[in-house]
Amino acid sequence: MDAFIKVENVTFDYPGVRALDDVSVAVAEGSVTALVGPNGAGKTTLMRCIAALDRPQAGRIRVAGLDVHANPRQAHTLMGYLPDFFGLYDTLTVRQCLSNRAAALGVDPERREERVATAAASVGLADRLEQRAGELSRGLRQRLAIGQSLVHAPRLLILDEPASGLDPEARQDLSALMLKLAGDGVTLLVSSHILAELQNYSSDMLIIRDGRVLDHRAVRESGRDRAVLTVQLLAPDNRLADLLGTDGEDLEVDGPVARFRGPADPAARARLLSRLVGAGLEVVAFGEAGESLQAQYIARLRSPATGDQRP
Amino acid sequence: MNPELQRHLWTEFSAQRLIVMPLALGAMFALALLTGSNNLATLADVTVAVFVVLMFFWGTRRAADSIVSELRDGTWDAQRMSAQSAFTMSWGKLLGATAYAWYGAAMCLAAYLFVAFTPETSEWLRWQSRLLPDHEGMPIRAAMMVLVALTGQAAALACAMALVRKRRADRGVSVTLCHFAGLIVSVLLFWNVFGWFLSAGRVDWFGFDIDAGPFTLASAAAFLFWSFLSVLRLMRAELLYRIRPWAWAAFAVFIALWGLGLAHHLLVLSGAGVVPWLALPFVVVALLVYAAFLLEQKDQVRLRSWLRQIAALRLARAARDAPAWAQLFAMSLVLAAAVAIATPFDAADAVLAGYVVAHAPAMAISAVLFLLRDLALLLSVNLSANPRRGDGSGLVYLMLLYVLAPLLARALGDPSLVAIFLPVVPDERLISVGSPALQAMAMIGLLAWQLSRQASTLPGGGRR
Repeated sequence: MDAFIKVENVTFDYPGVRALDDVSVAVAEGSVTALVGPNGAGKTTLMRCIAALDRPQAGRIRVAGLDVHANPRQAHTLMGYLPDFFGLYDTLTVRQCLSNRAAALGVDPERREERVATAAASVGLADRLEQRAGELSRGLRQRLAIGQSLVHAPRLLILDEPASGLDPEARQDLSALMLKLAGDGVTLLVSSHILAELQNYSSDMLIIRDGRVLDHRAVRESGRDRAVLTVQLLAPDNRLADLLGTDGEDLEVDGPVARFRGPADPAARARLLSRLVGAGLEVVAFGEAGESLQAQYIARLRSPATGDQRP
Repeated sequence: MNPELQRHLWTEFSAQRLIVMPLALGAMFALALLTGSNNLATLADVTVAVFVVLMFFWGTRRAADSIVSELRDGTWDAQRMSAQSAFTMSWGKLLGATAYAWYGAAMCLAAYLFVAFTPETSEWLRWQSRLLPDHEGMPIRAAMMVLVALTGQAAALACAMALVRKRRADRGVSVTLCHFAGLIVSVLLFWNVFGWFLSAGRVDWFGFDIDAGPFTLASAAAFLFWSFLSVLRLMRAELLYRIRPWAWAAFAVFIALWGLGLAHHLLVLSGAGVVPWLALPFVVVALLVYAAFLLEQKDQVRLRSWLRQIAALRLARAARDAPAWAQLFAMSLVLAAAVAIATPFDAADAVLAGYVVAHAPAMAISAVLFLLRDLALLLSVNLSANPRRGDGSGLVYLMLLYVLAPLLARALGDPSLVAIFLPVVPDERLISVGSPALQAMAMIGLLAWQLSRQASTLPGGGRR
């Protein structure tokens, strides 16, 4: 796995408070990382440091091999960032907002209109280009803000609580957009307290607590040829590991429940299930482990800090 | 086009606003022509008055608001994510936010030049009106007006940026305060000082008798350069470039030289020797120490780290990371030492000058010690648990120490007690040097205690 974002020994202090304490994280290109943790854990600070908006007191952050604090302007051409509390220029139209952002982010004038159209289409605002930003609803404003963040076709998109304040329909649209961006190869780093939201599109989960990395694990394979699966048996069975074979990487067995990385393809998964049942295993449940994101998070939060599990 | 400028142009100019400004100004100019007792002179007065209102009362406010509104409306982070250079952002903001005010000001300037150059304007009218110089002086006056307006707007923008850096957490930056700073710079200082130069016709600078026109223009351009440089440096800091504090030191040298040149005549007349030539820059640098301290962002974490470097005698690194006020303080130390060393060689012949020169070393040492005490006090307040109003509280303490305490000492009937609080009582050498030395030591002790107490609250003693 190539480390697209490499955070090395980053420490960030606010007066009297250490927000990030010797944090080291490596995020793969094309992954969708859910950045989670309790309030005040250091999520926003970490995002702002990666976005080269704040400079840590110690450590180094590289994005696509570029030291973001040594080259903040270049780094900004690679990434988009949507803060928790964002603003828009209300008197400008959607087209002007996007066009101005594209110009500010160094998009060539001849490509600008095309990028504006693409970004507007990505966030579903293609039919509102001449509408003023101040006239948009909360959900549409959020879309425009995301559109501004990706108008220059960034390779990394950092979103801080993007679903906050959105109605269920807008959240669903946001999930669809995240999946589309991930499908386009954009690396996403998303923080949210709504884990059910994140599990729809996240491939990895990064848990931060008290300014330290508590856990960093795959929750779904980003390439979608592999997925994190669980199987629940009626009773523990020692044959499970052998029966899974190469289809059961990183197997973790907890009594009758096992968690492993297996095929994402539904047909391959069906064949695997047949194999288990055919061998006489009494399978109670079988499926993607995605739904357990919240449970995994809570479990990790209650356990002692273990640090980044990625090399 | 500069994206920042373009955004402002989109916001500032609508078809309606494009029409309203010439209509309003045209009506005002017509009124001046039709109702004034001396029509053309009244029109000239009105054009200049409206120019002043548009540029200094509106333009400076717009310049300050261009950054404050970004912070208030939550758009500043997106701006900081820009790929534009600090220079592009700076001039885009300065000219973009004030573009509509300049639109009106350009019409005022055109009307003003029309009055000045129209054949109807008689020599008698020119003689009557202070605002209508001859044809040769007119371009210089107009250029001076433009440069001063830009300088005031840049000063307001710089002030707003400095406050944005200091008060980012609570978003509580007062546009009015920044507007006021721009007004002070443009109206009180430059408009009056440069106006006075132009009225005088000639300027004595370091003994050279110079035509006031070119000298004023060069001075106005220099001050515009410094104002814009301050915007540029603050913008670079906002965009996360590392900035070095050399600009403040360079500005101190410029101001000292510019001021010494103008004071040259008086200093020569006073009969003093070399000491006043060093004392005047010392005063300038000492005042700039306070200005730099109050305007600079006090990042507690970086300040603590820097003070720890000094305590650990890692002087090279401490010098590299030194804030501007520390660099200026070092300059003031050098100048104070120069005053002390130069005194025995001074050949002051006048009585008053001789008295001042004789006591200059004690006053310089006393002033430096008071400066050290004040810096330790201000740092201590800013590093306190609740530093939100650090500078404001510090200024209140300084006012107590420099105004109320000396008045109280005087009221007690012993004038020598004043030396405890002010560096201006040269006859009381022991008190005037000993008192600030003790106070400075006490404040440094307080600061050291505060640093060690705060460091203990962070993991690893906050040493990373």
